[in-house]
Formats: sequence, structure tokens, C-alpha cells
Amino acid sequence: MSKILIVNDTPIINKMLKRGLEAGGFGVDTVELGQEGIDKAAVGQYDIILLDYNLPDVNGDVVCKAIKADPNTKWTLVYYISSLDKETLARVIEQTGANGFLDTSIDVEDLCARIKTLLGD
Amino acid sequence: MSTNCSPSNDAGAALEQAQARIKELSQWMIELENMALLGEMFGGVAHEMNQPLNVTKIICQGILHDVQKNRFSAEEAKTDLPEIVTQMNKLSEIIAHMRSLTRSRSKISVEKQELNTIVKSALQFVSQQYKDHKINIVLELGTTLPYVMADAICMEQTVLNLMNQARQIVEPSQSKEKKLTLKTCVFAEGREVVLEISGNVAGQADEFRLAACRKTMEDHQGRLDFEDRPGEGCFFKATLPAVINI
Repeated sequence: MSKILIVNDTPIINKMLKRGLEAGGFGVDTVELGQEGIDKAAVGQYDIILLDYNLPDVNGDVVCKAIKADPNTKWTLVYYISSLDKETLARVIEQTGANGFLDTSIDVEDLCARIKTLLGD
Repeated sequence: MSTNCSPSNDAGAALEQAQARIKELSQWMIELENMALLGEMFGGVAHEMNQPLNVTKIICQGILHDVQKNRFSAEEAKTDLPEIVTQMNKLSEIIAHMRSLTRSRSKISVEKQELNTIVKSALQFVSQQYKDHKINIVLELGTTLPYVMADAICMEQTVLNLMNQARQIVEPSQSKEKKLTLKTCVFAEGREVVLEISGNVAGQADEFRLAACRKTMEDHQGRLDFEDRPGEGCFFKATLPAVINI
């Protein structure tokens, strides 16, 4: 079972995404702070990390850079899930080495299908 | 019968007209400045509004899927549906706040206010933008400050305006750390309440914007000082008379 880590400071988004992604066959963990995301990513062996950009402690770019700088997690896919505009996200992706962004406003089943494609499932 | 049109009366009328025109132009200058500020805030506001919309959409989609897959749980819905109400309330608050900031304020309406509350309200829409631009905001808000008599919206616009000016000095610099400090304190043995907005980079303020803020402060029987201290930073100091409880 592919494992997903969601880093988002809105508990209800975490809850709904977790519910939808688990129904789609993924194992899902959620955290609400950037530092928790860095810590959990280091030990959780996730296949993909869905990362919000605006977080209360450190922004998503800091989290992504830390994940990509760690030899154990640098190959883990990191996708931003944020309501930031696409131009800003494109800039952030380029600067932080993230793999891309996923539009959270799409249907959760489409999100599952997109993640399965990304993971080659 | 007197015709009352002596040269001195003419001069008096002309002076009155000129003063009225200056007042009108000053007001126009403030409104122009506020509109420019709102334009600059737009990105942050759009993001703030997008957030509750996104959350609501995700909740509705989740519930819809549960219904379609015959796994709908009334217990889950009891916790999910109030969240939609919360998100819609957030959206309404943002819209109401933006409306009040855009409303033309030809006359200020002062009430007893806490300066710290005004500062926090101003930060609501812009703190993320500053974070995105790698500008650290440090709050040093004094405790047990006396009240001030202020038009909360006018004062919030002034706080945003001063922050924006400080940001424009700090942001283009090569400084490794870019920092804005918002500090409130009492002054003059408790007779004044001061908001100091400082940037850790020195530079000149925009005279036009400074004049608009100064006018607002003077309308509140307060004052605005600006200091550019090379090697230290830029300092905007807005002072208001404290409400003295007798």
C-alpha cells in the first residue's frame, strides 16, 4: 500500500483528504505543522508528500528543501497542495525542488487517480 | 444699504475657498493612497478568500462521495457540516472587513479603541504576504496600554500604509535578514500611546504616502514622525493621545 503524508494546517482538509485517499487505497498520515512534516517525513518512508505552502511555523518551501536535502528522503515525491495562485506555485516549485503541485479543488477520486499515476501504481 | 463686497471680504472668501479645496484634495490624496494599498493587498485577500472556498468544496465533495458510495454517516456529517458554516462565516468576515476598508471616509468617526487590536486586525491580511516575501514580522505589543480615541478603520489603513512603506524600504535591500518590527508602548508618562513600525534597513520614505498618513494622524490629534537612521533602519512613529481615566 502506497503511503501518503499530508502536511496542512487545516484539520478539516486533512480529515476529508485522508478519508477520500484511504477510500482510494492509500495509507495516509497527516500533520499540521511544517516541522512535524520534516520530522515525520524523515522516518515514515512515504511515497508522496502533499504539502501546503502556508503553514503556521515554517512555510512549505522550508519543509520541501529539508526533505529534498535529506539523503533518505530526497527521492520522495513532494507535491504542493495549496490555494496559492499557479504562477507563485510554479516559482516555488522551481526554487525548492518540489515535483509539482496538485489542485486540491479537484474531486478527491480524481486526486487518487492522479496520485496513482504519479506513483506508477 | 450695504453691498458687502469690499476687497477684504473678497480675499476672505477666496481664502475660504482655497482652504476647502485643500481639504478636498487632502481627502482625495488619502483615498487614493488607500485604494493603492488595497490593490497591493489584493493577492493576500484573494488567498484568504480562496481558503474557505476550497475547504467548503472539499467537505461537500467528501460528503457527496460518501452518499454516492453508500457510506454516508450521519455522525460524520454532524461534525463536517458545521465546518461549512464556520468557513462561510470566515468568508463573510473577510468581505465585511474589505468593504469597511474600501468605504470612502470623508469624516472620521472616533471611538475608544485598543491600538493593539487595530494592529492585529491590520496584520490579518498581510502577514502571509510578508512571510512569502521572506520579511519577518516581529510583534512587540505593550500590555495594559491605555485606550486611544480613533476611527478603527482609518487607523488600520494607516498601519497598513506604514507597514507597506517600511516594506518598500526593506524588501529591495541585500540584507540577509529582512525584518519589520511593530511595537506599541506608552509615552510621555502615560499621556500618549505610540505605535512604532520599523524596518531593519535604512532608507527614505515616500513623501506622498507619508503626507497621507500624517494627515490621518493629525485628524486624530496625533502625529507621525519618520526617521531614517543609517546603520540602524527606518522608523515610523505614530503617536496618539491616550484616553486618561479620571
